[in-house]
Amino acid sequence: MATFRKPVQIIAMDSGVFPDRVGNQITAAAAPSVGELDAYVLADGGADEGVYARVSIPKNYVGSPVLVIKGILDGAPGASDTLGFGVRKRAVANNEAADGAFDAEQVSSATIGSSGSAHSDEDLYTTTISLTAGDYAVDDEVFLYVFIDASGTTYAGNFLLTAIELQYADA
Amino acid sequence: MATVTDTDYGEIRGVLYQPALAKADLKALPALPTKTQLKAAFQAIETRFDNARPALKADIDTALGRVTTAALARKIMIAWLRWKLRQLEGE
Repeated sequence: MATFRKPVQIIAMDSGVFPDRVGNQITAAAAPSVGELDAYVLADGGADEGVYARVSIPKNYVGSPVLVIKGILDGAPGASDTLGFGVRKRAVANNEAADGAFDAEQVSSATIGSSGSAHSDEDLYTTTISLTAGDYAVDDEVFLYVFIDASGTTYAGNFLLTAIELQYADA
Repeated sequence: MATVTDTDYGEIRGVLYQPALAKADLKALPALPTKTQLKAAFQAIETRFDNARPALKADIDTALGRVTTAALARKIMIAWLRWKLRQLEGE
């Protein structure tokens, strides 16, 4: 059995989310540096806030799907601060109705300060959300809403989203 | 007295956490205030201001030598607040 990751394509964003150069949000090193990259600026705006994305389920998909979220923390977390993410999705096969309500949310929250993973300001932060294997089939087009889960978040800083990936196993 | 909702928190935090305003000051802190703490701070300002409004109207009435309508007193406060905001931003 092998584990793979493939990029999830971000297509649209909530009105409170905006793309920006990382260097406009943090004090980055002189170019070339991560400051030259663009990221999506997310935060807990009192309500869930995120991006819309899509991914195709690959030919060698068997199971163990996991959503991987990567970004840069923008602001020092407090010791017990938590950061939560969620995903809602609709997996659609060819000849199936593309439109329809997305499935119920799946969420994950973690303590990111010194009481937990001990992340610091401007650290890369990677987190995962376990998905339901039976929800996906080879060649499905999956439409997703990936968001900061306000109910699972106390962190008041920004999250500079740089990548979303689909992790899966081939056996 | 108005209650600062989660939506209000998001709006005020969005204004606050910008490079043009307080983002650098907040990022210089060893740790950011939590969402609960920030929301409580916003609520404290809202409560203090709301509680002061009847007395402010009374002061306006005294200064103008007449009983103003609530709407007029509110508009006088708005004009003053816009001026004061420019003063505060220039400090």
